[in-house]
Amino acid sequence: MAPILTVENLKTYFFGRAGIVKAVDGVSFSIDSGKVLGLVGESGSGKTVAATSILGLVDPPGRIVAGSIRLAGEELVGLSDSALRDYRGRRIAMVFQDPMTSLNPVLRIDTQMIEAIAAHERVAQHVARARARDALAAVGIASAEERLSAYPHQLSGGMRQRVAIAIALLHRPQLLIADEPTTALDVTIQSQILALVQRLCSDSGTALIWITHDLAVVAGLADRVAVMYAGRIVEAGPVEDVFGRPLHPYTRGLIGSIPSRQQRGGLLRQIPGMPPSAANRPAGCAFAPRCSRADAACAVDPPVVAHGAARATCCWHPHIEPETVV
Amino acid sequence: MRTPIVKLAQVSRTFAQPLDLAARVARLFRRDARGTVITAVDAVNFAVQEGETVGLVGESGCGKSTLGRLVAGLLPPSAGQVSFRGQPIEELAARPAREGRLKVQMIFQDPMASLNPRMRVGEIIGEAPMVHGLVSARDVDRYVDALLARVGLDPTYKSRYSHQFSGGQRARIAIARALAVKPEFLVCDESVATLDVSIQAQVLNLFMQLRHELHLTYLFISHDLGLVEHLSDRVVVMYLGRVVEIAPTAELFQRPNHPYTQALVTNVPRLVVTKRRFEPVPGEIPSPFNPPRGCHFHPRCPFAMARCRTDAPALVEIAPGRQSACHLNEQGRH
Repeated sequence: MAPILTVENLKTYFFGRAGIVKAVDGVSFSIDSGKVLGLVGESGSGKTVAATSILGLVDPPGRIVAGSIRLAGEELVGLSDSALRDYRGRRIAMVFQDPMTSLNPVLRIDTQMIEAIAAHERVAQHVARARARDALAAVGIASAEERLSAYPHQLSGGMRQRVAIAIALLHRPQLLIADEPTTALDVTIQSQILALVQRLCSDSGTALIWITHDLAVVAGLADRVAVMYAGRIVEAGPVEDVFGRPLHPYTRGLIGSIPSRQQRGGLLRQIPGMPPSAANRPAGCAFAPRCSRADAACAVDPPVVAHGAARATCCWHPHIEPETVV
Repeated sequence: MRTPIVKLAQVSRTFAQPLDLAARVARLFRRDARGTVITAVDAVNFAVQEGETVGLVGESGCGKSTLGRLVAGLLPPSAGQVSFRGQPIEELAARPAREGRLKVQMIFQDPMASLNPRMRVGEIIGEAPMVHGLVSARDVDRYVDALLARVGLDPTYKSRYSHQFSGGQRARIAIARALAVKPEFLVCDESVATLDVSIQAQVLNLFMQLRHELHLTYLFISHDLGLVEHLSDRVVVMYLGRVVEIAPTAELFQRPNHPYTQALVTNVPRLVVTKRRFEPVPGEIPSPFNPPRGCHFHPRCPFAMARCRTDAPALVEIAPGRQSACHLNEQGRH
């Protein structure tokens, strides 16, 4: 089966007064229908810019300078604004981190949902309203009819995020991009949202890109994971392989940084130093200054190397177990 | 048993929102308009022993930050008593009270908001120890240098302002500021919540090193159960202002007693790679303005009985060192 979304060598740069910021610098990945890709990385790694590039929402001074984004075979890079507007919301939808800022605070929920339906379809008001009500019920909002006439501030954080998900799924998109949608939520509410999204996407065959800094969320949710560092994907593969046997020293460091029950009370295996600023990255491998395995070779950009059919890493000195070294 | 370093006995804290003008006018006509009162912390009892690290977990609005401020002496309790080394704080004479208060320091969530943006880092760290006579004006420079080095910062940074630092460095400055008055007890309120994973690990390691080097006692407030599990000796779980369970860390995570703790523990995302179905607890966290009667958790609890809707369960010992507030324990059906 051909992947529903293919991103190849995507480069999104921001041309600021202080110089060029290479927020996304040569990123490639693909995702199949009904599957979940976890895109993980720390702040400034470029994961959100990668997502906004797919939606054609990169604002000046930023622009996509190279690469290709294909949805079901159709190229999205270079499309006109009006063509992109037709895609957005209908075939690709996005859920943002903070529903308080992505929902309009002065419009009732029904107004916003009917607006979203009418943007892509000509339907009668009462039909659209009925569809909005059903969509709210489908995301587990009790008494959907009353909630339709509520304003966003009258809902709890978890409820607002459910509304945002309901709006995103109104047109049964082929791809849903969720950017840290549970970061602001409490554990028990996060768990509800994860369960909901997992069910809705597998039912409708929607491909899901889940952007997060929380590796543990991805571990339970995603099929594949891509780890970003300084504008690049440094490692990608099936989630059990990447977390079980990480190849890239950064992935290893990240996993070691997470407090867990295995090493209770012990010191965490921290990564020294700080992520480089996007405006001023070291030449060659951007992780080299923090990496214990770095040597002279790392002054040159490492290529993306495939390890088996499903895995790839971008490192001169990956952690490859002795038996797999040829 | 040793005297605990900090002990809370039946400590409550309420916040009242006074009536606004419109409501006061309305009261001229009808008598039932009253200010809203929130019970942020409701009759909490617990003690922290010297050298211990106690984790305090709960979801937003459960009162964990308010409890942290009560422990740190930043808020007076509305009822009940906070004692420091066996002495009720309000009974201490002015001078020992001030010294006692210095021994308990707080590190806040957002260093950007808790560090004065118009003061140089050296001033932020050096001010309190000078005011309290812990160090003379002549020695303060050397004192600040030593503190910065201890938290892993270059002492030459002390003439900079807090906005010139990264998040992780600001967290270190906030730690140095708290350590400057030689505390014995640190209350850390979500002190690493805003940091990236790799930076968070560095700061957590610093906390653990300082604990051993300076024999510190910690109350670690966090919504992140993985972090609390890693750091703490004991865990206190709060739900809507009440403590629902207290247990040694390993036991709490292996055999949580209270249904709310069980829900929390099973819902923590783990780095164990098994694609799993999330099985959420139903329902929302109730508003603290209008908490449910009886046990606060009963509307979401799968085991709720008639009694849970009317009687609030008391926090009682269920095993040595373990306490839980659930009616199920009395029925031996757990």
